[in-house]
Amino acid sequence: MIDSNESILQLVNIDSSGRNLLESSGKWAKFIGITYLTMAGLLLVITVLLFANLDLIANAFMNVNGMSQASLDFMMGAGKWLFVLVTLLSFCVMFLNGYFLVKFGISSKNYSHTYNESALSNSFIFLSRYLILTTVLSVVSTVSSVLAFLYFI
Amino acid sequence: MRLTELLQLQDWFIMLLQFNFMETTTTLNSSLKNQITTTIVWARYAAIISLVNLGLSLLQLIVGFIKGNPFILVTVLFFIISTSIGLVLSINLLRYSSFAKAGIQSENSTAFYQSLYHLKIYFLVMGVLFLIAISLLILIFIFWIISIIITAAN
Repeated sequence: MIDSNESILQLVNIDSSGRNLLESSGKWAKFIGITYLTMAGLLLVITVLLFANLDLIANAFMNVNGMSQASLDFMMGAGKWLFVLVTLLSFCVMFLNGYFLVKFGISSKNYSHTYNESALSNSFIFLSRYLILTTVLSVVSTVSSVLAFLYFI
Repeated sequence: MRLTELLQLQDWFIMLLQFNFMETTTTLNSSLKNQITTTIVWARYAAIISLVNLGLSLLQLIVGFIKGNPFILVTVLFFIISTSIGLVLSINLLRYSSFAKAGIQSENSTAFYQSLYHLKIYFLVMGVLFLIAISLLILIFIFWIISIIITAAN
């Protein structure tokens, strides 16, 4: 009897203080997520504007800096698509980061208001997705740092 | 009779108060524990890789110093700022991971709350940094607009 009571007492419970901690984490995560989503939206708008006026920008650069014909050809050919690829990748990373953080924030708030177990489960699922993305980005950053270091040494 | 009714009313009122202040707790079941374990694993990986990145930055700084980087003071300043931010974030992620692991393995709610506290600090630091960055961007934008107006006026 004593053993079973002890095992019940030893279970991990989330009470009001735990809920408050999770909710305040969620609030900050939601703010960061909204910022990421706004940045992703701005990036997309700026890219579309730049892409639409690429000829104009290239000509302006050519007049101001005296850009060579080879650079201009690269900018209008492969460079253009490289720029689109990099921008799309950045957009995807920002959007996914923002989406996971906002969903984590919404789920944790939902849990602290409704005490719904599935909301708690969702909040940890989105948190783990965000952490996976963060780890992948950190790996990419580390690899590029190592390559840059080896190149310059 | 009135006294009995009053006492009954008082009992109902106490029951209502007890119901309102009754603590609602959620016990972590195995499915929730599995999801938390996934976050523990990935938080640890993210923190360790960030720490490796910081080590690499230190190595780059040392090599730059040896090679006679002309902007060494600026580089050191940026290194100090980025390393302190990175360290705070990584340490909080690591602590989240270790406390949550300890809390789940030993069924200890206090350790689990400690982990949630470190998760909160992690997001709080990131949020404050985002606020500073947004404020700086707004300031730059305002100064840019003012400079355009002054140039146009001249």
